[in-house]
Amino acid sequence: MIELGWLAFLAEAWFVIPFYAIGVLGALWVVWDAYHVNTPLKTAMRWAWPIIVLFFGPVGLALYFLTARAPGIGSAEDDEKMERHNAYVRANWFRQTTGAVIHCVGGDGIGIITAMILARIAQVSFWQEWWFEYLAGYLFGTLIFQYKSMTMMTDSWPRAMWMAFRGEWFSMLAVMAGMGLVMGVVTPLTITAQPYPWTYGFWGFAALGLFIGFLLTYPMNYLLIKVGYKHGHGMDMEH
Amino acid sequence: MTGIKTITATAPKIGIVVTMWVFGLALLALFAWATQWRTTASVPTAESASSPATAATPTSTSAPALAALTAGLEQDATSALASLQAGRRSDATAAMDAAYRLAQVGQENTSGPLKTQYVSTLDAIKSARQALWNGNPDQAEADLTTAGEALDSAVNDTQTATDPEAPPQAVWDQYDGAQLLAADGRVIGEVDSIDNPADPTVHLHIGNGTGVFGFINLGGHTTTVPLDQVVWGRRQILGNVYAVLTTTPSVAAG
Repeated sequence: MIELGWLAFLAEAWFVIPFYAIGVLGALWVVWDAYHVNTPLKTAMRWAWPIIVLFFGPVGLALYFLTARAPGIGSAEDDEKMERHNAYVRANWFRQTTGAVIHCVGGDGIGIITAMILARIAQVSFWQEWWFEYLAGYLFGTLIFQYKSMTMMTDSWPRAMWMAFRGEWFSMLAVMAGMGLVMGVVTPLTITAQPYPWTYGFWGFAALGLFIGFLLTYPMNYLLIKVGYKHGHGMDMEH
Repeated sequence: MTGIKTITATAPKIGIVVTMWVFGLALLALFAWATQWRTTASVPTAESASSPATAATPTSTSAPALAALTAGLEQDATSALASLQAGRRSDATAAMDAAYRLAQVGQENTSGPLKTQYVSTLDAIKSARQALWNGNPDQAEADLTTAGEALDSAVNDTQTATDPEAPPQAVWDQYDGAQLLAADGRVIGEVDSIDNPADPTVHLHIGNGTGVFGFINLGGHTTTVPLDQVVWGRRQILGNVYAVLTTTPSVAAG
């Protein structure tokens, strides 16, 4: 048996409470920032970034600053903001891809965690939980975040829906593989299987699961942008 | 020329789409394999466990089913405690999860004082798991010690207890697909079906690739055992339905 006891800190109060405190405060600040300062952010990104910061804490905040918030945007005039934002977020593949991953994992994440809470309370089996989370994450991610984003790429809502389902399909394969690895292997070998939502371990390992999903879906989203199924950051789209 | 341009533009796109399919499915396969590996792995046995190793893996068909289950549960609880004290967290959690599965089945199949001991054991194991979920291994050790004490009495009482009654024919189909456990609590396969009312037999599918994604069986073999060699857990739609095979089955063609 591999030894994963070194991850036990993810179930300890000293880690989980400050981590989520940073996440909650950071998410509130990002909401404020997106509507008052970093206004060129697309609507779907305004919804997704707070979720990412909530679950990724300081890592989420770092990603926000590194990929979504152009330096000096606070002091820029309104008409200059869009120009700065687009120049910043389109400058390299890292920021483009991160944008695509963020509204994927943000949408999926809120669905997955909601489903996970319900599944743990109902005490369903591992595979029942995994499929439930897959479905909830896919529907949340597609119908809310991806669809909203795709409406900016086409005027036809059926086409936007098709594009949303298509993009989300591939992203979700990788996200749920990562989430599943943490749920099915890492968590049981660290603190035993399927912790309840009122324990520190639930939240610590939920964050880890989403983060591994984020990492695994990163190359997938890079390919999705390459093939033109998705786009990254930026307001006006070429596709 | 336009046709050639279209083909050369489309080819890389198809290549990327194929790559995305392969990458996504490979990740899912990796996840499924890792999960099956963890679920079906042997339950670690601590060297310092007080119970003899043979007690957890009974092979005698004459051993009462409940006694075999209880011996396996005691070994798991002892191993979990020893591993936790030795700092082998993953060994400890694997043994705790195995013990939790067995304790649930045992509680369903006991009555009187023995049931009381099983309830105490299950409560202590639940409490130990909850302690780890809240980052408190010291409390988990204390809870596992409590579970071990409750099991000491249970082991003695099962020597004189009668094995639980087999489930009535009316509910046999509700055990189709039940997760099959060995007497040490590890997952070894699933129940295919129960049939033959005159001489009830259980058809089992045994193998590490059983129940992948919850419904796919890859490889493994089938075997048939008498109904009384299996201890049956609670039937439910949501959550795991367990069946504990208390003997080592013979392999049949399948």
